Parts: sequence; C-alpha cells; structure tokens
Amino acid sequence: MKDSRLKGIIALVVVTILAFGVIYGSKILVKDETGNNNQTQEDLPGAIDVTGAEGIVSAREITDDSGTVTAYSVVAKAKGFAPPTNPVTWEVIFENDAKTIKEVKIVSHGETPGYGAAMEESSYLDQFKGIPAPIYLKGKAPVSDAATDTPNVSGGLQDGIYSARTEEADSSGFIYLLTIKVENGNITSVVFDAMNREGEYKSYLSTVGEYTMTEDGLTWKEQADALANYILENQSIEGLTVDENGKTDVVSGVSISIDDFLELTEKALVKAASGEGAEAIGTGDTGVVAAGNGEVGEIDGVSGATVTTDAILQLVNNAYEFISAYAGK
Amino acid sequence: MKLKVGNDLHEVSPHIEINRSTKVIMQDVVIAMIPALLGAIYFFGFNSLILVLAAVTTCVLSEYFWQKIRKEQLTVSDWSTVVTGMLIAFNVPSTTPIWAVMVASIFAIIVVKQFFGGIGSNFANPALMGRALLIFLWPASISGYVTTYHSATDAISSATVLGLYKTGSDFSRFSKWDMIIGNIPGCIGETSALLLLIGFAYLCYRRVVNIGATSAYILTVLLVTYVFARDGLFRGDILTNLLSGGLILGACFMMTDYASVAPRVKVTLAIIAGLITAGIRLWGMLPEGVSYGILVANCLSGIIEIIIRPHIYGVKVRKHKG
Repeated sequence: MKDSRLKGIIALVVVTILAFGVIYGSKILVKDETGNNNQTQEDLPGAIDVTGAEGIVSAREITDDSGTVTAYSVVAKAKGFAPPTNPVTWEVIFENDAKTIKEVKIVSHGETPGYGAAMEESSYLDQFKGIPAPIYLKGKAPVSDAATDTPNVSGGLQDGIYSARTEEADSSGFIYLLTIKVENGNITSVVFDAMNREGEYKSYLSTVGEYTMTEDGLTWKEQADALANYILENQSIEGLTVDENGKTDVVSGVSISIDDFLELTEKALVKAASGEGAEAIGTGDTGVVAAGNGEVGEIDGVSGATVTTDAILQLVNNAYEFISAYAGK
Repeated sequence: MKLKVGNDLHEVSPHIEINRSTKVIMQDVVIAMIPALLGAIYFFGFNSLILVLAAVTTCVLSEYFWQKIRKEQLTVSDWSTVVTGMLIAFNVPSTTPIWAVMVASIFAIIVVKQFFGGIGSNFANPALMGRALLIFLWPASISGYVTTYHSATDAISSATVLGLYKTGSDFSRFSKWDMIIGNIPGCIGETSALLLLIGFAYLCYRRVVNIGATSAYILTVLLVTYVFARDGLFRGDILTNLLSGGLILGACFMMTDYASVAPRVKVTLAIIAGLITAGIRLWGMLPEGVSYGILVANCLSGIIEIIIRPHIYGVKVRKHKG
C-alpha cells in the first residue's frame, strides 16, 4: 500500500515538473510572439499626463503617420458593484473632436456575471459608437424648453458648437458646463448644466427631486432653461446684470447665482466669435439627442445593474471631461 | 467493516479487510490537488496560497472547536477538512477577500457538515455550499476575475472565457492552449486542465475516484452544450466548454464525493448534474453552472438511491409478472 502511494507520488511529482516545463516553455514562446504587447498606455507614444485627474487611469493621443491627431484614447475607471479594488475600467476612444465617441473597450471589471457583467455584450458596447459625449441614459438627457425658434438676429458668430466649463468644482462638488450652438450666425441653442464627481447632472437631479432649492420656486433646471432662453432671445449676455451675490432680477423666477453662467457664456461667445474650437453640428445619428440646447449621447443601461450603469456613465463622462479639457474644446 | 454506535465500535458485514481509511483517501485527494495549487500560485500569485491557507486553517479550526464544544469525537485528523478548505479556495478567484473564504469555510464546516452529522452525512458538498453562500450573499466578493501574471494582454482583471463565450463576446485573445495550461482568468484552482488532470490521474492510480461518474458528468455537459448551442443545433464549442470553466475541477474533485456509494447511483447523479450544468450554461443567467449542477445532484441523491436500489448481497431480484 505504501509502495503504491510512494510510486504514485513520485510519478505525480515527475509529471508535474514536466507539465510546468511545458507551461513555462509556452510562456517564453508567447512572449516572443507578442513582442511589445505588454506595453501600457503610459509607454505608448502620445501619452497624456493624467496626474491629478480623478478617475482617469491613462490617456494618449492617437496619431497618423504624419503626426496628426486622429483620435484620443482615455482609460477611465469608476466604482461599480464590485469592491473598489475591481472598478469598472474602460478605454474610451474619442474622435479628434474630443467629443464624439469612436469606440469603447472594456479593460477590466469585477461585476457580477449575469448582471453587471452583461456590459460585455457586443450589442451593448456598440451603442456607444458615434454618439457624442456627455452621455445620459435614454430619456434622462436634460431636455430644455429653450430649444425653440429664435429671432433671426445676426450676431457675427461663426457656425458650430462651442463649449466651456469651469476649471474647478464649486463647494458642492459641481463643475459647470455650457454649450452653445450657432447656426447662420445666430445662437440657436444653449445648454447650461453642472456635473458632480459621481457623474450626476444637476438638471437631472433637480428634475427628479434629488436637488431642491425651494418648495414652490422654479427648479434648478427650469432656472437654467430660463437663463438659456434669455440668451436666445437677446443673442448676448448684455443686460443680464447681477448684484453683489451674483444674483439677477432680470430673468423672472431665477434665484440662483449666475456668475458661472455668465462666465461660461462669455467664454463660449468669445470662441464663437473667432470660430476657435468649433465642433461640427451633428447630424443626429442614433443615440444622439438634442438635449436642451445641444447634443448629447443617449445609451441604454445594463439591464438589472443600476450601479454598474452609473459607473459606466460616470467613467465615460469623466473621460470626456478630461479629454475635452485637454484638447481645449 | 467497523461501525460506531454510541461509544462502541461494532464489527459488521462485509468483513473485508481493506487498508484504506478516510484519512488515507483524503490525503490522496490533497496530494492530487497540489499540482493545481502550484499552478494557481504560478498563474495568480501568492495570494492564491494565502487564500488556500486561510480556508484550510478556518475549516480545521471550525471543526476542531465545534467538536470540542459539543464534546464529540475529534475527526480533524482525517484530513477531510483540509480537502474542503482547499476546494473552497479553489472555487474563488484570487482577488477574493480573505474574510469571504473564511466565512465560506465556517459555513461549510459548521452548517453543511457538522449540523448534518459530520463526514459522510452532509447532504451536499460543503465546499460548493460555501461558494454558493458567497454567490448568494456577497456576489461581488467572488466576481473579481483577473488575467494571469503571464497573460499577453495588459488587462488586470477580466471576464472569464466562459463568460465571454456566453455573451457572444470576442475571446480570441485566449487560445485553446492557454485554456489547457491555465493561462486564463478564472477561479484559482479551475483554470489549468493539464494540472487538474495530472492530479486526477493520481487519484485514478490510487483507485480513489469513480471514473465513471467523472466521465458521465463531463460527457453530458459537452454533449448537451454541443447540441443545443447558442449559435444553433450542433454548433457548440466543445473545447471551450470543457477547458474554460470549472468543469474539470468539478468533475475530478467534487463530482466524486462519497455521499453515495453505489456506482450506478453515482453515474446517474453525474448525468443529472451534467444536465443542470449544461442547462445553466445554455439558458441560465450565469455562464458557469458546475456548482449548482453538482449541488442539485447532491440534494437528489436520496431519491435517486431509492429509485435505483443497489443490489443487495445474497438477495435475488424478484421479477414482477403482469
């Protein structure tokens, strides 16, 4: 009996050593074949410094043979359902406008099979192709009443879409974003919104009652729309006076401080005057909606995985915020 | 054969002298799992070893203290708790928190094994019940699959090949050779078919396992997943189904449980487990199915033993007329 076991153990040890020899040998062969495949984003040409950018793992410019930037790749992460050690990490590739999503790839995730892991389905990932950032869940994009007919006033502005954002978050953690669209020299839409670190938009939060100011006054989104309407009607910010607290009496029902709104509108109008950083006006592909006064992408959530969906929204929008700031658009 | 009744040991039939105790068998199983354990360390790092040690230690201590408190005969020395602990760790990815495998180990030993009377009396495989507990209570804790240290990709964590296959995603970056040697994401003890089969060959040499049950389980899963494939009839990917999940680990080390003795019953249960595993892989929400397949078969063992009565020595089978 003991001899039988001893023989068995000896055979087991010998065969195991041989097996590891085969495994190790194949590793060397694979290494030779793959060459530099183990390069990380940081090692690749065109790497962008992401120091201090929250949620951004790496980023790089993708260039053609002549050195022209053809796209941007941003690897971003956000905590999903899995523990923080396994965040949802995607590579988001933007067109060279730093806004239109060319493609998304899953780098890693620890989401639950059958739930959040359903993000791996190609049909889910394909919906991101060609849509503009920022992205929202379908039906939750901020739709502004201000996107209406506008007076045909010549403003000397160049056609295109112009965006501006605050560099630092306010005390509540919101970064303010403003986008204007100029057609035939006129401002035809204005989107004013704010996004927090979780990727949640103030317009949406105020609509669903998660961001309230007063019980009976206009919601934050309604006030943002009212301000946008003022720009559309007047084609400028002249006359939009503020007091020492940054508040205005010019637009009825608006009680929020409009310093950020004024600053961003001015920035966008300066860009529009020179045509600097103009984005082409989109054609309204699938998944693209006129959100308020601009265009954003709309996606489906991962079925049955709200937390994972939120992580995806957050990381894609973080990637967009980062790369649009880097590209100066 | 010796039967313990109360505090007395009774000699009962059959009076065949065999020199193979539970301890020897369990030691053989542990020895057989060592190649796969070495593979886990090689592919997923020393965290794999830490998880195995944590699970084994917790299992051993759980059983020891439970039996001490209950003033029962200590059975820790039979090595069965070591096997349970190793299997619990083998069934989780290397990113699993240590507390999770410890909770699973305590549950497996105390609730699944000791509550039901100890070794041989447990209604289901304790290790798989421990895994099922984690899936039920803390699914995120055992979902952090990672690519191996020797993967050609630069990803850190990844879906399993079986998960990618189920969702129709591209898994071409993992070759069949990777699946054979274990260079793929997965639970630490399940990825290397090569090393698992080496261990299984040792068990076969030692005549510890029922190769019929193992074969029946694997063949059933492969047959059903091949015939009723996602892409159409008779279009299943046999090798991916065989090599990319926990099928070989389950078939070689967990399907061969000692809950049932009669070979016919074991084979029948293996086929049932195979059907359930294949059903989950094809039509279920989860990509795997080995754990639940074997657990359901474990739970059905009682009724199957009644239906398929083993032949009783010295008794003729009476033929029913009309």
